[in-house]
Amino acid sequence: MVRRRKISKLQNLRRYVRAYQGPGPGQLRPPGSTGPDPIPELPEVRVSSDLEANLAVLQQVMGANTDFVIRRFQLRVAKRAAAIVYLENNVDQLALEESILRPLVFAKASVADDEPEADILGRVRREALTAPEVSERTDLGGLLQAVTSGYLGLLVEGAARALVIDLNKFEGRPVGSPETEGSVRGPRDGFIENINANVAMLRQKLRSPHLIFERLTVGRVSVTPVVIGYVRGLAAPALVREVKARVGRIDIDGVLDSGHIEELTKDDPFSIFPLVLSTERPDRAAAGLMEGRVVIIVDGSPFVLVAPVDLLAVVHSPEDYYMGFPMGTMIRLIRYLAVFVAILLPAIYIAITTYHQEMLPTEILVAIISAREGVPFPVLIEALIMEFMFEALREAGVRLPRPFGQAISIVGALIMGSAAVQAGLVSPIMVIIVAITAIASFISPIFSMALAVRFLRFPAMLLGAALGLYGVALMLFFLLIHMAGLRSLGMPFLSPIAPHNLKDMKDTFVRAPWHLMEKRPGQLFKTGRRRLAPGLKPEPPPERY
Amino acid sequence: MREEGQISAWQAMNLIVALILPTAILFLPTLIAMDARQDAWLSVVIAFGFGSVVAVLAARLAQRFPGETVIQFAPRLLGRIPGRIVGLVFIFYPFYITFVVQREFGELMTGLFYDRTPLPVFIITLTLLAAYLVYKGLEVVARVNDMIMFIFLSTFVLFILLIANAVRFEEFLPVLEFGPGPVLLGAIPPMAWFGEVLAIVMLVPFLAQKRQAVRAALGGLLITFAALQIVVFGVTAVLGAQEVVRVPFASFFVVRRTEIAIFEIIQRQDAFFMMIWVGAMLMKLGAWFYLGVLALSQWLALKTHRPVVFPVAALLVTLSLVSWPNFSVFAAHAREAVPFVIGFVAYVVMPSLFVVASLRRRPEKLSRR
Repeated sequence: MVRRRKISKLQNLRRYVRAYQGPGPGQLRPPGSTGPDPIPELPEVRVSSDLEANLAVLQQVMGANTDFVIRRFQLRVAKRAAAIVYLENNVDQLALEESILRPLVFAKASVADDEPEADILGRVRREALTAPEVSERTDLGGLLQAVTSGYLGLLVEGAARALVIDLNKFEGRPVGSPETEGSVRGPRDGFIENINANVAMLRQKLRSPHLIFERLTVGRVSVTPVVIGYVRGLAAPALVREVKARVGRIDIDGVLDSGHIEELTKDDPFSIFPLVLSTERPDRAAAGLMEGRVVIIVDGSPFVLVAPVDLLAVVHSPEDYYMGFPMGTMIRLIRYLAVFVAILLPAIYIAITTYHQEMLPTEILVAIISAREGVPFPVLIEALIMEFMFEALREAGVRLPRPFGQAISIVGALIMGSAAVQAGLVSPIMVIIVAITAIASFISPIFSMALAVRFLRFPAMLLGAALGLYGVALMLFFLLIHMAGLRSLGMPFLSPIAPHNLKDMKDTFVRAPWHLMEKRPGQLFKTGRRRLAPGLKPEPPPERY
Repeated sequence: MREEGQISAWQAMNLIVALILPTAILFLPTLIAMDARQDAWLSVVIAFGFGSVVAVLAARLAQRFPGETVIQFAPRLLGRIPGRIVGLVFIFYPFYITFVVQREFGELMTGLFYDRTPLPVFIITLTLLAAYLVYKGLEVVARVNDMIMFIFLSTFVLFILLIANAVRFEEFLPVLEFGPGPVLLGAIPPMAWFGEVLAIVMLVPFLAQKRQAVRAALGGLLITFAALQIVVFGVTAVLGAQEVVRVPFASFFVVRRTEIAIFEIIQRQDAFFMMIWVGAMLMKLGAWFYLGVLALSQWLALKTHRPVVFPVAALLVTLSLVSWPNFSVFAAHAREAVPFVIGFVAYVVMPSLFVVASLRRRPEKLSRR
């Protein structure tokens, strides 16, 4: 710093406290400031060498908190007054006592007490502290930030810096299996809410030193750690830069789930399609990393974002790669079919029964007509009632306390299945249609895609009722146009179908045998695409043993 | 060149197919059969020959002015005022095709599938969708087109399977019953349709590999030719030339009439063919609409084509509705006027432009003035 600020300690303190209290009611925001309103930025106030002055500021700012602790003691190493500050619920009390307080209070002085101020903290670090992660802060804002993130702050009389020590104690659930992305074959572990655990899980899958995790913080109030991970040499540097820029520019009060980040970094925020893959499965994230994609992990969210993605990847499951390729391909095809069924079946039923009866063989037509006899509503209303009932039941199933789930499913099955039919409100065929649609809509392995499919059913039904199969076609082509215009982090969402790339089609509708999928996805790799040595096709040995 | 994006030669080829084929299969079988009768397939071959000449001329012409569409290079080639007038021709041409296509589409939908729904419903809905497509720009048009053309062209294979049982080869005899005259007359309508390949002159500037322009144009034309030949062959073989002349939309008629065993569950699959064909019409409409809007925006020296998309869409819908009072007038127009209007640009304007460009010796100097 060339220009030194000449502000007395007292002024310093006042400025600081004022800054922390924020603009009071009726006060205008400082001109030129942008970003969210109520919380002012932490001003740059340096740690003073006067211990009591520092503590006074901290007390002013944090004093209202009952969990904020200032513990003064005599630092034996340096024979000076010192204090630790922390939030008592967020630090590990046992570790605090074992690895901080005990050594600080008891470690013997090795040198005279007139050592220059600059080295006091260094000596504390070298000779007294046994905690592994220690760093320095020179401004009170940084210190406070660390303390409120669960760190322990150590201030020593005469030292114009503070040490912060990681004693974060995280109360969270243990690693469990993913709730929304179950699989039979393959790893069962899922991400949890703790960002460090998630990073560790990915490290365990990919142990290469080229796997890089960079840390950012997002949110002024939540101050949420966000980690951006990629494999150096696989992920295009421009892509990594783009992700960092997009996450870095987010200025918001708080981020509570990766959903916030997903929406704020989407290429087209109005699209219903997930342009970023959110997954609970570490193996899926690791597979993405190996294909040159970037992962974004947000603290507090078990959903890790993988970008860029294409449409078809959203319909794939990691299990496809663990089963043999014929089974993987077949199940994939079933899944694509299911997506179509989930979106279109009610619409096509409505369209055909309303406009194109001639398409049905007479027997089926007669069956439908006799089933609908006595049903007071047009097909569209009938379908809407049933779909609404189903969606409501599904939503209720999520919200209800678990013990009620059984009851709700019985009630739902009774109401939807038999009572409504017997009462003549809906036809049995409609119940079948809705049931098939419901089953199909659960097949999508990614929750956000399942949501999109769920949503699309309704416009399809309305168009089918208004214009018959032509309406359904209109909606399909609208979707096609919409998707062809989408990009995920700049990568066309429909690749490799359109713009088409025949070589990448090995991992789209079909899942080619591993020994044939020699290349990494062409959208992300211009060169260096080979991911597997040539000639890996397994063969029986030439002779018998 | 402005920010319109780039397309590959493959995409250009598919675009050429989309620009010609979807309406060709509707009217052409009947139009050709009126003169050529059972020799319709010969007329198609002759027309293909003429069409490929246009394809080569148009592609070569565009290659002389890299990065410029005909709207931009015509004033350089012919002088300011004549160049602007030629520009107007290339604005009117796509728009004309667009609103004819709109009407064709509406007439077919109301005539064949929805006899109680008013015509404007279909024209407006499809045009809105096409406008949305055009608004998204050339890259999206090309991508959507790739997918739709793949599906559309595979229905021709299905078409062969559908009619395979009903084919009667004796319908093609006798060959050249009345000499070559009727065959040549019958070649006029498909010539006009194949002449639409001149659209390549507007596409070349956006081509990533400009040297493949000729190949893309000819490839697209060849695919169109093959598909059209399948349909012409099919309807003649199934219905016989006499019958083809009588039914307005012969290809759909054939699909509606045939049934195959594996599709017994769904009788009269023509509605599914209709869905796919709607996509193809969307592309024909959208692609011509895009070319027209692009030409207009360049003619007006706009920065992007977007502001004119929706006004032009409204105008075209109106034109398609008020230009013809009913189907028979429209059918007569389609039979007697359309081939000559669109043929005029392909076989008079385009070759003359090419000749002028060849006569002026130094194209590189010309294009950098």
